[in-house]
Amino acid sequence: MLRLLGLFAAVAGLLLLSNSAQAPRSVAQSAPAAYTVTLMLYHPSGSASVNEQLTCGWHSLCPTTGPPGGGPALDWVPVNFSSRTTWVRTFGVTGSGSSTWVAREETYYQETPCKQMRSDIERISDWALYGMVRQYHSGGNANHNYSNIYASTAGSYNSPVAGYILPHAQDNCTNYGDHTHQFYQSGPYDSWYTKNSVSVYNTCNYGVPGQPCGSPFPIWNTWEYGIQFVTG
Amino acid sequence: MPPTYGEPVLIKGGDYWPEGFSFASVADKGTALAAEDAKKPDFEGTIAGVRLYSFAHALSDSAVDRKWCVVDRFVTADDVVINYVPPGTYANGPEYAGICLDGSVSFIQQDFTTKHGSFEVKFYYGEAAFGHDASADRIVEQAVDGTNAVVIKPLTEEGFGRGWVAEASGQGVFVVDGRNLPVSELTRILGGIKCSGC
Repeated sequence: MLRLLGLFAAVAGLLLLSNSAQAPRSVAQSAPAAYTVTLMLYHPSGSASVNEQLTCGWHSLCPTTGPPGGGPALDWVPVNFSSRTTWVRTFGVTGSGSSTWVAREETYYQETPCKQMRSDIERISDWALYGMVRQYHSGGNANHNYSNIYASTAGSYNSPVAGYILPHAQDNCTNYGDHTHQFYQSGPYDSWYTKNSVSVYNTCNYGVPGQPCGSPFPIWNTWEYGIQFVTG
Repeated sequence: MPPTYGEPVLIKGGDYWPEGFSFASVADKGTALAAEDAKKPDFEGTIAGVRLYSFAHALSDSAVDRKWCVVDRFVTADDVVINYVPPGTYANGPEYAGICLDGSVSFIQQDFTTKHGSFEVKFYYGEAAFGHDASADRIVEQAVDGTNAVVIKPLTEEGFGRGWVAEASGQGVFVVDGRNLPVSELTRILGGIKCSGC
């Protein structure tokens, strides 16, 4: 179910250490406890030194013909296309601990419905699926790529590599040019999720495909989805 | 984008793993085996009439990839009848077809989530071929409901990791692509698929 989450923007301003690409941890080494976790999903491309550009606001297909703000996905390209690499960037907040292991993430490539990198966010104790982060028009050899998601009271950054933006000619779905189309899809075991309704996400390129909208975004600026789940 | 439900819809209760299943130990073993399997070359070749190619190879050399049309839209479909799903299965959305720019059908697919993973049932029109990332150690030919099929086993016998089962047909190939499902469940799903126009 969708609900508003007003705290995200304030919490998102807090910066702590990144937990990127760490080796999977043994459950036996750290028995999971129950925590309520809020994850904020950020932009998939760009880097600390290269901002990224929004090229289509909330949509299913771009140019969108639906109402502004409709649809589940945002389109992104790095400024000047300096790198095709994509990441699954999340910022995890929970009520206890400084770096608490709260979920397992498995990233893999799928050929349909569009070529994509997909990251399943799973409960540690029984692999139940909280939800999926999908990046269409992307590929990569990241199969069997397991990583951990961490959260803390002040927030923890997670940024495992997902894959890379496919060259247009290799894609098997219509698109207006090289980019990645990222969205969150709810699984049975998340508590709720919400889209950010910031203005540019609602209005970018309504009826127009693929032009840059507004100023480029730093990678940890302006979350896309807020997701909440309970660990166990 | 394909049609999806806002939230997954439970279509079969229960659970395909028994109470007391050791998720923690299987996950530890599975992640270790994943790292080992990733060091070996992906299998490429034809088994049970199905050409298997490496994802990595197809992405670096498009000649290896199966021929995909450019899908322009998705429509709901009911051509493929799925008679068996594991206990504890949710549908993420209705069955759908990917429609090419010229109006032909590229594939039919339905996406599911389970209590401990997920799977998709697909029918690809055209060449009986699909991509994967498994070493030869995990691939066998096996009869499923009286027809020879290719089975790509998950990382552990219990089902941890990704596995596939596939069967060639007159117009293409049926593929079940699953995560955290044992071979016994993958083959039961495949054996329960019916399609009059495939």
